[in-house]
Amino acid sequence: MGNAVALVGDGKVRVREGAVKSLIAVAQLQPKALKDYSSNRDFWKCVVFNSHINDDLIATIDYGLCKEVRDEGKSLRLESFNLLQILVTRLTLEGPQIDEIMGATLHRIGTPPSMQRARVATTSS
Amino acid sequence: VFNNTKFNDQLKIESSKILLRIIQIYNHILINNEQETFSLINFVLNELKKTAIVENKCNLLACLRELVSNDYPFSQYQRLWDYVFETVARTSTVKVQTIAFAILRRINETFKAAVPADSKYYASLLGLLRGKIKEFDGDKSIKVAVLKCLASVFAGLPVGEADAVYFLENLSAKLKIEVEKLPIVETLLRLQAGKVCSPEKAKVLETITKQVADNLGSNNYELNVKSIEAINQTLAIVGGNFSQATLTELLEKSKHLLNEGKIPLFFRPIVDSNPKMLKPYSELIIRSTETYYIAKLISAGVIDTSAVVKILKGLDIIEKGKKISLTLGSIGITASELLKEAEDTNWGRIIIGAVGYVGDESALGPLFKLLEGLKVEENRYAVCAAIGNVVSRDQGRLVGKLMEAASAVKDVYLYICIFKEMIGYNSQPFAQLPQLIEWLLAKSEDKFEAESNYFITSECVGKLAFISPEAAKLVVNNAKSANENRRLIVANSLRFGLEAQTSSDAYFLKEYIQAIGT
Repeated sequence: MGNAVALVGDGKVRVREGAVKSLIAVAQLQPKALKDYSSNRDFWKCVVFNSHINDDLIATIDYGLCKEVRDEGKSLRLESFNLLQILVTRLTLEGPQIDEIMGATLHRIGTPPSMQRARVATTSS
Repeated sequence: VFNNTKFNDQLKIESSKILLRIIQIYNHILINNEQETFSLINFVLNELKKTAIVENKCNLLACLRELVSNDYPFSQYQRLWDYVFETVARTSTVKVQTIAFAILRRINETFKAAVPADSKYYASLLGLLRGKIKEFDGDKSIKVAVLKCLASVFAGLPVGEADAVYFLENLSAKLKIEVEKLPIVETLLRLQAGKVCSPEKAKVLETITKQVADNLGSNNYELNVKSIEAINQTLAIVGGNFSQATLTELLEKSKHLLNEGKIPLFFRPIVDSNPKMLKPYSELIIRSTETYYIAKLISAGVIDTSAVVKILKGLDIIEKGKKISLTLGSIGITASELLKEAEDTNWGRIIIGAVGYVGDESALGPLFKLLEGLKVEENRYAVCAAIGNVVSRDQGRLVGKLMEAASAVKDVYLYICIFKEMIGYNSQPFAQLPQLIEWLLAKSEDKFEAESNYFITSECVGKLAFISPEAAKLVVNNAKSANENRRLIVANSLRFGLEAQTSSDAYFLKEYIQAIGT
């Protein structure tokens, strides 16, 4: 990242989610303002990272009689994919970014929801 | 493919079709690349000169239409519009002419702000259109293309009186033709514009306005709307010069629209010059809740305040609540009179809204007192909105006092709501703007009861940030804060502050994006 304070890569998931939502608003209303970022690898890396399942954000809450597996990163992932979807249609992308985004998307497509659930359960157990 | 001499006509047509499709799909990417765009334009122009196949020409012209963009200066398109002019003048083929006019329209709409009115481009275009509108024969699609082009030209060009009369006279004769009605009315709308109205123009406009009024019963919604807009605009320009008989005819023809409450802004020039003429329609006007008209009718003595309130009480309070409040606040009833009726009911909520529009600092005490007594959540929120409305008219003095009062109470959410409403009513800079931003950010450091409260705070902060670059800087600086909630507010504030009309070059937008994205 070019700037250490960039909120899209913040340590807290709710801050990152807010930043991604704001970037979606910019991409929808003022895509030209993001023109300079089409070749910024760090920016893309960060957005792609946010669209991945993050084991650190999956927690098991033990209620005694039952357990709940909570994935705090789910909403961030959805928003990040929304952002990617808007960006790829509005910005001119370069080879490495296309590869990276394709990789992230294929990974996601290749992991059906049932497997994602299984993965969550495995990780949490 | 295009250079392949073995390709027959059909293959060439298919190739140009594919090229058009590619341009349509990838235009958003192409248009970002100046070199690619203009090499493509030049390529298409060269191909156009080589081909004699009509369908191929149409496809290639359509490619040119797609490639016009305001990302580049108008002068760069010189070769393109020279070719299109030449095509319109020389070709008699319907399809080619129609697309050529569509391109001229596209050029116009894209560059209307950038091309000077006295340019060679406009002079030649106007000459071309004078000829076309005079003969006005041939295929329907060419006629519609010419009319649409004419409407778009006049949207950006100040029209001389002689030109306006010329075009109006020629259009008036053609208004009976159903298919051309809408583009004619649109053209008419553009032609009327202009501060000066000569007696000749007024005379033609009176005739054409009566003809346009016949469209008001049409099932075509767009034609209805445009006709009303055209009549409204005509009246604004020459209203005083129309005969009484013409005005009465226009009012009667539009009465059913008022009855539906759909388009109530119709009578503005009449209510300004001769409000008594609207007496037969006064109840319908009150039902439309258009405050400007109602206030005018009251001040002219056509109706009295109590009659207005009585009719407003009978309206659908849920659907028209805010408009009724605004109306009540605009007809001369004082805040103290209104406050007597401020109860925990639906009508009470309307009254509270009205207090917001007329009240000053003295109304704040009773409004805060009301907050303590009201139980219905919607009504309590209405009080917050009313307080925000009152404060918005005197931010310089009242924001500081409100922040002070907020520091002494536990329920800070009410005050955050009040500030949110205040910004909605007035987004001008004020003295305590930096203090208010800091106050909101400091409050967010506490643990709020619900996550949604952080969003309301973000909305406030975002809207305040976009008031001035200094305010934005203040907010953006908090992206570095060690406090998670402050960073959360900054991250979310951009989406709430950003609006469609915000310039993509805005200094603070760049700062914001830098703090959030890279």
